[in-house]
Amino acid sequence: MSSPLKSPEGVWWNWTVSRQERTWLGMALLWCIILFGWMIGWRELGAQNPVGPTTRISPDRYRAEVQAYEKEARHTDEGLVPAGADVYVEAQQWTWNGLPVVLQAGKPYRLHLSSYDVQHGFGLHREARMIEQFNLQVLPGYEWVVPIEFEHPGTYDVQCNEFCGVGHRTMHGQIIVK
Amino acid sequence: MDDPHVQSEEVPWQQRVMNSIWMLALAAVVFFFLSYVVWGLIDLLSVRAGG
Amino acid sequence: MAIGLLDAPYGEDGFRTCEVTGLRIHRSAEVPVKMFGLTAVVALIVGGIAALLVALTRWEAVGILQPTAFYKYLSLHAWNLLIFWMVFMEVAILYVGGPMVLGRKLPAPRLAKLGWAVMVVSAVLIEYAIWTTTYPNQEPLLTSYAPLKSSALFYLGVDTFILGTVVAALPFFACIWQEKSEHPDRTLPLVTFGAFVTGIIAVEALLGGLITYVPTFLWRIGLVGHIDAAWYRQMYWIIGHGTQQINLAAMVTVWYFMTHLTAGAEVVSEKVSRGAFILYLFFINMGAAHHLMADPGVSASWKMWNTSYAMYGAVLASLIHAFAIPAGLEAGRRKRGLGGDSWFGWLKTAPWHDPGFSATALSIVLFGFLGGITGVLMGQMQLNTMRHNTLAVPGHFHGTVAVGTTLAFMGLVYYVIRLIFRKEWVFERLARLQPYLYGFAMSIAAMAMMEAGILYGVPRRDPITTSIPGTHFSFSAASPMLAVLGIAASVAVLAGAIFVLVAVGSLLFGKEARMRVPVPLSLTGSDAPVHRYSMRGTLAMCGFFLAVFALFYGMDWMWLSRLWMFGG
Repeated sequence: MSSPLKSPEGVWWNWTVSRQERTWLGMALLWCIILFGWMIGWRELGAQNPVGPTTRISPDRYRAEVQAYEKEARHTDEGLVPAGADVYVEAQQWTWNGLPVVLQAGKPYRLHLSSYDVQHGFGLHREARMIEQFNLQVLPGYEWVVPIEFEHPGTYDVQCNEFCGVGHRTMHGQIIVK
Repeated sequence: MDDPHVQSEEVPWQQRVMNSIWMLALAAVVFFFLSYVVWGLIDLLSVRAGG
Repeated sequence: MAIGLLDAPYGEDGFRTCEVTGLRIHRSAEVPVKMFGLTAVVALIVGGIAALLVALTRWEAVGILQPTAFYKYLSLHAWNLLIFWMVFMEVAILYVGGPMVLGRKLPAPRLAKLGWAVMVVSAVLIEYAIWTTTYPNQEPLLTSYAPLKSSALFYLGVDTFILGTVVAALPFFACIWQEKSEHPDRTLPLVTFGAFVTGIIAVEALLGGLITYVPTFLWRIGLVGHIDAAWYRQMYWIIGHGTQQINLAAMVTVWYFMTHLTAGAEVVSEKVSRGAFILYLFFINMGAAHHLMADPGVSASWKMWNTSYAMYGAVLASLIHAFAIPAGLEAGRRKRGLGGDSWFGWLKTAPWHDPGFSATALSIVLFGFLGGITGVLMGQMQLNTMRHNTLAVPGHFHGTVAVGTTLAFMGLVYYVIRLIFRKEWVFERLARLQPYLYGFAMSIAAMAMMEAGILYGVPRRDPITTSIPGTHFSFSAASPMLAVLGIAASVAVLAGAIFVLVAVGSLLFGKEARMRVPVPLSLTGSDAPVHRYSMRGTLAMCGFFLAVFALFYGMDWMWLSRLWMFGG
């Protein structure tokens, strides 16, 4: 009697494992290898990875960087046009400093993310097709530089999705890609 | 119920290991501590300071 | 009345023998099981009321709560259901799986009661702290992410709750220690082994909680100057996701127990099932990393190693249990001559009218398809960036905890009422219907959340997403999905209320239980070992499961590949 409530007697290590269970074990093991291999493979070869250099930086120092960047940028009606490939975004209760920003499709940028105060969520959505989205965590004290390149022109909306206090739901920004 | 094909009463080491629950627990906790906590902290501590 | 509920026909030595399971049960183990079980149901009630208000707010056409109130009730909902309902039940499960299954006394029962008292006081403290939160404190939600400050009383309550739980777990470990010392050559029963693994996973999670919340409490009262946000997240999720892994291990243990008790399941391979529990023991808590995939700071290698539970070791364990448990049911029933020779007769003739069985069976299937698949998908480092902080995340964990674990625990409570409190169920026809109603409704709600998050990116933890001040942009396209969520969740809460009605009604007004042994348990079937019986029905179902898994896996990666390029 192999009851789950009773102590199994004897050498249960040697008890037969049915062929069906062994078949399943093989299938499951193969699936696990695929899951791991695919994720690693995409890290090496894929075009979407939440990876980029991180720096420890104080909120005030980051703010200085953002301000320097804004001084170099061109100010238009639609938003900032960065002078180079660096795009600075600073999350702050309850606004996205540096946005709106106007970028070019097909051009590689370096997106700099940090927070002035508490944790925020950089939730980016392609307005024309909302299934296209990504979401990155923005932390005070850390600057994350994530390379990014947009293929499709259009409006991309940023909505904070990490609870950051009473104004959280109003924290919206835009990236215009031309 | 013993499998009628089993001849010997000698308990193989694999069964003894799987029955050594305190040793397994200790090994598991140490493994988790190293894999998740220590490695992660090393990553955080090696984040370079910004200019 | 209260004293009556804690009574049972014990002999002079404090033991009684269960007429149904044959287990030798001592008063010192049984009384705490009742205390913890009852407390868990109280938490379910509070959390369920909060759930209704939260759901009727996220159904923005109703929008019953203002934002400030929404965060309050969301916090109450999370703490009462994800933590109190779960953890009180799990301590009870430790006492069932340990001393009750082993037929032993619970050592140091006063520690069990002390632990319970500390946990209850702490829970009340946490509720009070959430209820009275005002500026400059913020509602903690579940995660209380530093440097957003919550009230000092909240952090203190969490610390004492953790300590109380550790104290309550000590008698369980002492019992196991005694058993192993007295019988060093004996193998623990599988359910006891599962409970032990659950206990160790819990200790890891709770220690992580102390590492997180003691410094955070000291920071809140001004004794510690600064809490690093990245360090907080990494440490917090040890308890944050660790508590969910306790749920997983406890639920799987309950699955082995209940399928055996209600429908005649046996263990088809001790070594394979134990091996799977050992994989959980080593690897399952690494999954805390799932919440850090979209974070700066930790390296990509750390992310991939930990999110995969060491090359998907713990996922292999889940897949093993996903086969072993239905296979145990199939082979166990075939051996007992139940259901004939067909592929699925063993399943069709199973006691689907028994809420203990139906809740368990629904838990297994729905946990796997809704919670398990989405969990592995969202845990893949790159796929996570599409889902992080969207409503898809609560969609996933409502599939796992609110559907899977809650159904399993409901099924267990039905039997605790009959076999431990020794009461017949009142409103038996409602009891039969309840697991189906709850499972169905809560599944729809979970899927609605997933779709809202996947298709539209609707944020989680946000009460008003269909209109955003200062912009024309909004998530109003998701309104129909949010309505489905609101309606389905309301039905689920109703089904939860029916469960409470039956549970409490049975305890207060139920007749003395007739102690009838479920038919499958009374049969022993042939003498041949269980693994000789066909498990082809289970293999077919698991094959289907893997095919669905692969389909969703492919879809998710296809969506990701069409996203803009990011990362280096």
